[in-house]
Parts: sequence; structure tokens; C-alpha cells
Amino acid sequence: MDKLMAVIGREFGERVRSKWFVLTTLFGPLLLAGLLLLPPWIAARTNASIDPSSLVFIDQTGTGLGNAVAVDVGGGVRATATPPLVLVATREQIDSVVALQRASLMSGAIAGYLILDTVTTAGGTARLVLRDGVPGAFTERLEASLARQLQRARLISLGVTDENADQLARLTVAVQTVRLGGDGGEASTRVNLIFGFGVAILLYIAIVLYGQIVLRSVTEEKQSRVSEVVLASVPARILLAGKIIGIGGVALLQLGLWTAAVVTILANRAAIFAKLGVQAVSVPLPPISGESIVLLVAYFLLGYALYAALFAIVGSIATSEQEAQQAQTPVIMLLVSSMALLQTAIGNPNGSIAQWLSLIPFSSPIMMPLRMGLINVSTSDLVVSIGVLGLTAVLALLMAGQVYRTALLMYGKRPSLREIARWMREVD
Amino acid sequence: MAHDDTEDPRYALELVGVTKRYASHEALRDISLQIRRGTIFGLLGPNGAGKTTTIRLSLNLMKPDEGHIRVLGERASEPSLVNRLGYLPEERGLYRRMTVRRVLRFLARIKGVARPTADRLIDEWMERFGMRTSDRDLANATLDELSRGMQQKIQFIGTVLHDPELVILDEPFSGLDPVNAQSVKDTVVDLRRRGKTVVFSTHLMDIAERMCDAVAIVNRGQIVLNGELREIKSQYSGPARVSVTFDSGSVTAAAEVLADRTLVGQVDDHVNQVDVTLASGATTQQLLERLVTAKVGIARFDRLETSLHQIFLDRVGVTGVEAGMSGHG
Repeated sequence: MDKLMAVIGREFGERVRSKWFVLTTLFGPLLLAGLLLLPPWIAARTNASIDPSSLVFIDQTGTGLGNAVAVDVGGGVRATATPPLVLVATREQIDSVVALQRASLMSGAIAGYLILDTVTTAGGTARLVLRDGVPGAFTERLEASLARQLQRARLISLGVTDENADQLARLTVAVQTVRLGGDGGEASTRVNLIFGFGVAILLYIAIVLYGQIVLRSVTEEKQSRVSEVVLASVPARILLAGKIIGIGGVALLQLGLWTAAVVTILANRAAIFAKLGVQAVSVPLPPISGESIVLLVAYFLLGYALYAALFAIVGSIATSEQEAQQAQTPVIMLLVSSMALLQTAIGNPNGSIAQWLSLIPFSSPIMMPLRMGLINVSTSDLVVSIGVLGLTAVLALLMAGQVYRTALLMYGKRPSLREIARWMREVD
Repeated sequence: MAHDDTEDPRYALELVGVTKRYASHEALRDISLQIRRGTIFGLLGPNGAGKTTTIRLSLNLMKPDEGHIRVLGERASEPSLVNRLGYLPEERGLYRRMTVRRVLRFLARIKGVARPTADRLIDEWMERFGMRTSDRDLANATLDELSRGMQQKIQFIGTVLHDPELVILDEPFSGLDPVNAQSVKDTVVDLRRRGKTVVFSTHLMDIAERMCDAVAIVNRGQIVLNGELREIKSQYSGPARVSVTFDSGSVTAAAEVLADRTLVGQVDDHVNQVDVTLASGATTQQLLERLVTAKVGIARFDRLETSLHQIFLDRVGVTGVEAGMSGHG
């Protein structure tokens, strides 16, 4: 036990101390923060470049449409902004007013002007003249406001009271799909899809990343001949177990820190944006039960253990780093094939392909978490899937332990498959 | 098991009828070896003779196909044995990016030494090998920052740090400069003085001859010579050799005596000094008497001891030399 702890301690301690770990642990959340915060922030910044107060509305409709839209646009989402200046003009005045505003726009005194005239009231089209490019979000907001105010005006002209017209015009629709969970809890299916997909990708990346670290660690020990010294003190299976557990610990620590960072960012998204002077809504975090977390961690650990064992076999039989890179192809292919079928599984998470893939141990650590995010997987499916995965992982670890002992001491040549099979059968 | 009866507390290492086959060839064929406790034992032989295989089998790094091995009175596969053994492999290597202290601490911990004890021992050994002085402490350097010779010394410290009862060193002197080789030799002698058993393999005959209590010569997977160094030499039945240095002007007087084929087999002439291999049946006493009778002025008369190298050449033939054996080192 002491020896196992010593090996785990070395693998974990050396890695956590390394520059690589510190850099990736910090860089991960920074990258995620960038991905989560930058696009909305940049978009918001672009919108903010059109300040409603720097616009002039020229209203020739004679219905007060200009004022109504100005209040709407200026107040609306950004309550702090001053509404645009509204100039009411008659048919005779319009040309000179427009010419004047045009000159102001050319001189840079205003950011743009909007012309509302009889064409607007009749057909709903208006002209917005700007110096700079057209920010899509702003035009959309303007259009929505115009539609609302025109609708309101028409309702009033049909005899509806002002108050009722307001209410009718403000009617908006949106379809929110909600999935009823097994425990009776509700969750948004869109959020679930993003979450399930995110978890599947994360597990895939984590298994490849840390499996590769196991591979490199084994190759390095064999190349540097350290393994011979260590094997004279520690049985091969303890060395292998210590290595896989130690690196797995690093993986859990790093993934834990990353997850904590993402959850913190998402939970405080609105507050962070407010600090940056950008208004945004919070994204609801999907409600995850304790059991789901346990299952996700179990899938990661078992999937990692299975692939780490396979990578360790590859690393121990390879005679050089380059050879290890080539020899790992079959293992990588196993992982990549599950990723290739991810789209199919998302399309029909209850279809037979998705079901099979979530039972086959080489793809289940990625597929089952994905399906769990999309649909309610039956308990029996989960039990069988975890059971098969666990058994395969244990088998792979035992095989790896057997191969490990002999292969680590063979420097000159790569063993044949027949030799490897013979080592696996050898008993202690 | 039957071989349990053969257990003998006098031996640190016992191999009985051990055979090891690899896919393509037989590395060891039915070898038997007994190494007494508290001695220094040399495992000699050309490259590829089976020395490393013998060592790896003794350390339970591999299993023999036939025969059995007992280490410190236990079966070689007994798990608790590893903490009582120290091993320096021929192919050296440590975790290059770790600091010396952390590497040594790790090596000590996997031999069952607690961390505080390990730290104390590391300081002691580093001081002993001149790598920890008042102005510098290399324990905090990474292995990468050290020279090759230094790395070898660190690895040697890692081998003996946990105070093993049996130390097995595979080619311990290869790659060491004379100063470092001397400190390793001193440590080996000191280990023996403290009652430990040291087994080392080497192809350097003169080192083995100067340091070992007993040796075995392995060639092509078989033991061709095995025993106490003194016995081997005394039992060696080749003709006696003598080195004679003459007073100036006495060479001519000696010529007649040296020409007697019943007395002298072969003469290696160095002008004022000759190395004489006696004819079979002749004794050094007879030669001395004849030289004195002939009034030859003798400055020195030495009985030449048969070197291990000589014995090896006799037993193995020149092929061993071709394959990498050396009488010097």
C-alpha cells in the first residue's frame, strides 16, 4: 500500500507541480471565459456604437409615430439611454429638414436620421440613414418597435381604446421546449442538448488527453530505463495502477477546477456583463441531480481507466516515442469512431445505434452521458452499460499489468502479437 | 517443495539448475551458483553471455523456465524480499526532470523507507559523495542539470540508500571516471565490511581480481568457472611462471640455463629481465638453483601469479576477448 501511495504521489505530485499543469489549468478557464463572454460582449459593444440619443427621427406622418418609436427604442432594453430627438415636419418642410439633418450627419454632429412618412404608415417601410455600417441588432429592434407602434395605431383607428391597443401590440410569442425529468423536474431541452453534447465532448477530450499522458509517461519510463529500477522494487501491476490513479487524480483535479470555473462564470454571467457595461440575461444552468453527477464521474473514471490501460500496453511495447505514436492509432480509432457517430446519436438518442453505442464499453463513456442529457435512460440500461464498462476496464487493466512487466524490460525489438498473448497468459 | 530443504543460511543467493529461454535462443542453460553472505562476488563474462539475465532472474524481474532461485534464504518471488535488495541496472536512467532529493526520496519510499529517515539518509550520502557541502547542495538540482557522472552517482546512492542486505550491481564501473569509480569501489568495500553481500557483473577482469572474494565466469549461457578467487588460482594447473631480473652483465651467463628445454618452456625476453614459463615437471626451486650454480647475478626473482584474465583465456578462449572482454580497466 505504501508503495502504491509512493507511485501515486510521484505521478500526481510531479504533474501538479509541472509548468504544463499550471498553464493548462489557468488557460482552460481563460479560454472558456473567452468563449462564453467575448462574443456577447463584442456584439453588445457593436450595438452600443449606435447610441439612440445620437439619432434624429424625422416624423412626417402626423400621427405621433416618431415619438412613440423614440420612447420605445430609447427606453426599451436600455432604460438609461436618452430617446432620439424627434422632429415633426409637414409635407412642405420635409425636404429642408432632411437636407439640414443630412448636413449634420456629414459634419458628424449626429450618428444618423430616420425618416417616417406616409409610406411608413401605409406600407411599413422607413428609411434609416447612417454614416457607419448597419448594426443588425439595432435595425431589428427598430423594426420590432415600428411594427408594434404601427399595429397600435391601426388598432386605435379601428376603434380600440389606447390601453387595449397597447396591450395587443405588445403581445410577443416564444416557444420554450421543456423536458420532464424522471424525478418530475423540468428542464429546457435546448439547454439539455448543449449540456449533453458538452459533456460528451469534454469526456472525449479528457480521455484522449489523459490517456495520452499515461502513454507518454510509460514510454518515457521505458526509454529512460527508470522502469527497471522501479520494477525491482514495485510489482508491475502496482506501478501501473499507481500511474493510472495518479494521472487520473490530476485529471479529476483539473476537470474539477475547469468545471468550477465554467459554472462560476455562467452563474455570474449577468453580473459580469453588468460590470462590463453590457446588459445580458443569465443562462439557466441545467438542473443536475446528485446521481447524474456520480454517474458522469463514474463514466469518466471507468472510460479513462479502460483507455489508460490500452495506452499503457501500447506505451510499454513500443521501443521509441515515434513508434508509440504510430502504435496508438488503433486505440485512438476506437475513440474517434464514437465521436463520428455522435451526430447520429443526437438525431435519434433512442435509436438502436445510440443504444448499442451506449452499451459497447469503448464508446459508452461518451455516448451514455450524451443520451443521459437528451432523454431519460432507463435504469436497467445504465446498470448494464456501467457493468460492461467496468468489467472491460478491469480486464484491460489486468492484461496491461501482465504485458507491462515483460514488455518494459525489452529494449531492442517490438514484441509480436503472439508474444504479447503469451505474456498475458503467464501467471505470477 | 523439495528445494526448500536445500536452504542454507550461509548463502545470500543460490541458483540451482536455472534455465531461461527467450523466443529465439537459450540465454541460460542449467546454471547453478552459490554466493556466500558477506562477500563480494564478481559475475564475469563477455557481452551477451547471460550476466544480465542471471541478475534479472535473481531479482525476480523475470521468471526462470527451469530451476529455482533463493535470495537471502527466501524464494526469489517472495514479495517482502525487494526491500532487502539494492539493484543498479546496467541501463541507467532516472526521472530527469525531478530534483535529486525527490527522486531519491521516491526510490527510498518504494523500498519501504519512511520519508524523514529517507531525507536524513539522502543528506548523509550526498555529503559522502561530495555533492552536498556548505556552499552547495545538489539535492535541489534536477537530474537534467547534472553531469552524466553525477547522475550515475545519484543512481548508485538510490541503490544503497535503504541499506540493503544484498546489493546487485550490473556493470557498476562502466561510464565512471577514475575518481568516481574509486568512490564506488570504496563504498562496495565498506558494504562488505558491514556484513552486506555485493554481487556485481563486469567485463573488467582486473577490478574483479582486486575486489572479489569469489567469481563466476559465464559464457554462452553457461558457467565455465566458479569459486573462491584464491582456490581458483591455486587449483589452476597451468605451468608456473617466473620473472627474473639480472644484474648487468649476467645475461650471457643465464643464456645456457634458459636454453635447457627440460627446465624452461618459454622465455619472454626483455633484455635485463625475462618472464619464464617453466617446462612441465620443472619447479621454480630448480630454476633458481641452476641460475645460482651458473653464477648468474640475480637482482629480482618473482613468482608470477596467474591472472584471472589468463585463466579466463584458458577456459573460454580468445573468442571471449573478441566479444568485448578486457583484462584492463
